[in-house]
Amino acid sequence: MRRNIIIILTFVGGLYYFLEFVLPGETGISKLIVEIGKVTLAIGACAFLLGVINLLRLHGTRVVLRRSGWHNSAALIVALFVMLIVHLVRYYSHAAEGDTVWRIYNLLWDNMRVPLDSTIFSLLAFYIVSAAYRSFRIKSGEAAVMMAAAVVVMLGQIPTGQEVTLWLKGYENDPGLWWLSRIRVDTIREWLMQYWNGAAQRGILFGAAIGGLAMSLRIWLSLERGSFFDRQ
Amino acid sequence: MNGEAPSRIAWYDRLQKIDPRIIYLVVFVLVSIPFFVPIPVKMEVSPVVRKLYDKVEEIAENNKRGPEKFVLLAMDWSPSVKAENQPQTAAMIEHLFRRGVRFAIMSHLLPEGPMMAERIAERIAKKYNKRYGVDWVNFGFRQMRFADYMAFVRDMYAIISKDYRGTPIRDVPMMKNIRGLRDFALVFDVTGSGAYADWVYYAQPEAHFDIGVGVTAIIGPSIRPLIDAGQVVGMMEGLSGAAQYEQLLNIRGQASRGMGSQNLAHLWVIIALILGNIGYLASRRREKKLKKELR
Amino acid sequence: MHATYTMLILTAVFSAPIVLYILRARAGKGEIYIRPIAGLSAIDEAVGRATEMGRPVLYSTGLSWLSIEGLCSVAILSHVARLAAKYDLRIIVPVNSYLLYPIAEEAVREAYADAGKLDLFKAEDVIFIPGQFPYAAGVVGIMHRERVAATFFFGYFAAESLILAEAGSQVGAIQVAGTPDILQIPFFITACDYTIIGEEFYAATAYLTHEPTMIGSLRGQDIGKMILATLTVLLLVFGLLMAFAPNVFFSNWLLDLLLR
Repeated sequence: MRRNIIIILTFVGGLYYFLEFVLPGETGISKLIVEIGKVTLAIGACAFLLGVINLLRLHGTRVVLRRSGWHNSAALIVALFVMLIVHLVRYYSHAAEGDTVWRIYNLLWDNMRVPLDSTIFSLLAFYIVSAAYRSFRIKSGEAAVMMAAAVVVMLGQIPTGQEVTLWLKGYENDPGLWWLSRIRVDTIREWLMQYWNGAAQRGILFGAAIGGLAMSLRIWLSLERGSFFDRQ
Repeated sequence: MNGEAPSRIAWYDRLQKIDPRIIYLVVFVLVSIPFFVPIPVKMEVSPVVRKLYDKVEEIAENNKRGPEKFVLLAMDWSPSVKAENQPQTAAMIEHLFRRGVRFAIMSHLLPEGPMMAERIAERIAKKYNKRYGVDWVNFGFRQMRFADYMAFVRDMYAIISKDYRGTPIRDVPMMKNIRGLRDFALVFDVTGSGAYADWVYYAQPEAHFDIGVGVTAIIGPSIRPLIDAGQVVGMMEGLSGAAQYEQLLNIRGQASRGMGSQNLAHLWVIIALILGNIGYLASRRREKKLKKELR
Repeated sequence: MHATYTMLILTAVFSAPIVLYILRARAGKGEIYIRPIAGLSAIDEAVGRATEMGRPVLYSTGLSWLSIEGLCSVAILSHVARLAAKYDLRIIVPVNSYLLYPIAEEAVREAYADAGKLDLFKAEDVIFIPGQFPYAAGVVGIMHRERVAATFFFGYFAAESLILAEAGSQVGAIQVAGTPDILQIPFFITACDYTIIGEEFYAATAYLTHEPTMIGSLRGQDIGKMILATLTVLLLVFGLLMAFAPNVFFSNWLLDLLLR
């Protein structure tokens, strides 16, 4: 019974948006889009709360039962509540900048949250260099072409690289040698990125779009199978 | 140990096996140098950055002649991508303030974006004597996916009832001239993820605005087909895109200062690749020579 | 925005083979062949190596939530967990999404239960770590502390992909990765031993589960892609004709029809 209700609701929901898309012009059902959107906005807000409750439940259990790594879970819960309380006090007390609660908030946000996030992301700078150094080897003709393209693209986006061929720009208006101005690293980079890369990305987009269509059809028509869907 | 000579590692093997710690140390030093020794940079502006700049100029010129159009800044970025997205945001806000184009800030994916953009706007506003509510407004964060996003696109006021500061949206002076998304001539989406897709696929066909993007360099390649198709009018790609935009604005901002570090780091990557491959090719040549001798 | 006639026709043209082959596969009509995917064969090798070394394996679902990628990832997790259970191996599963977490935990528990080794299952080995870079930091820490012998990255990954893959490389783990997100594929290819690219990720679910719906859908998608490739070539020829012979008699008519 429950499964049949889910199947019907899923189909009707999908059918609404499909009809709204295919029927030309503004129809009676078009007016419902805004109202349905408001409902889903409210549901989304509940899901937000669900996330917080789940977080507290999972990590709280870990703390209470003293499972391995419980101190990390305790730190997470403390950080969550400290940040929440400070922000709520700052917002509802209409504190002015320079007040204590603002300074605490700035300490937590500017001096802890932002640098922590940025620091982990900045590890990528080091890892990219070591990963590229370790794995980029000219083992074949294709690898050589890829290496050349990589070097040109990197040079083309930095000032030093652009300087190397900047002098060729002087031939732009030369009737015989104007083509020399087109073989600068930045123009070659732009050409590689826009046309070669663009074509490849477009091809991949096609595949992804059809994959998305297939998944949408399976869910809409309740043909989807897998542990989650079988349990519904 | 046993009277035997220690085995020597050939130079070409050493080149292929440089200790990662040395690689990391060189990256650290090279990225740090420009912090102490400013390196002036002058870049060639790419066509995609130029198109974005020209679009804002066009909006400013059109606003002088006809009905006013606005710009929507979609700030779908978080502190982790601050290094690239913050200079892009700052450059665009500087341009908009300078040309008197009014804008709104919002995000439908990440709560941090509008918050960080607001700070940038407040800082730059002092330079141009701009006031919140009159020259810009911040809608804040509204988490939206497909259904509520479609509702937002159809009727903005159905979803946005208050601004970032809690003021009812209709009481904000700037909003008197905005009936819906169709009053925005340009949406500039700054993101380190795929947030631009929602604007391109769902909002643009409905509201017919132009879209510009400021993305991290890693996302840049995936925007190219959209630029080719005319769905995205221009792009700031990574820190270099923001530096090029600053150059067009004739300012030396965060991006221009950061390009010194990126410049040196890129050169080191190229050098490391070359060293590794010199070692590899030399070792292959040596192997071939040995095989030939053994035959 | 409403559909043009062209959009309607194309939607029908691409949807029809998908639905048709799903129904055919479920009715048991016709054998649909899926070619072997190298990365999936490597899973067995990776688990075997971890067993020999007596060290745990780590399976990361990345930033997947309750979406296509997340559910496909759980299907592959189920397969890996069954292998781990078969060889009495510990599997650590950090999960980023609170929605996916109970499903992942259930999949691992079922795998151990089916192998008759429920006593070896530890709930605390399925770890919930929210946030993108906190997740990356947490997983890197786990990899180094537990000295994992094999890592599996299947799902949706963003910028943290290289951080995870490089950390796995540093601890000497054999690494198998698969993601439909093309932007992260170069990072996985450089740092991992085997990578499953793009469409193969979705095919992996069909390949491992042999579920008729998945296999039929895959076949329908392939037909759709062939139709799209054919259309692209035809329109390319048409475009060239328009460029070199702009007065070709049917060109304006065809263009109007396509854009109506």
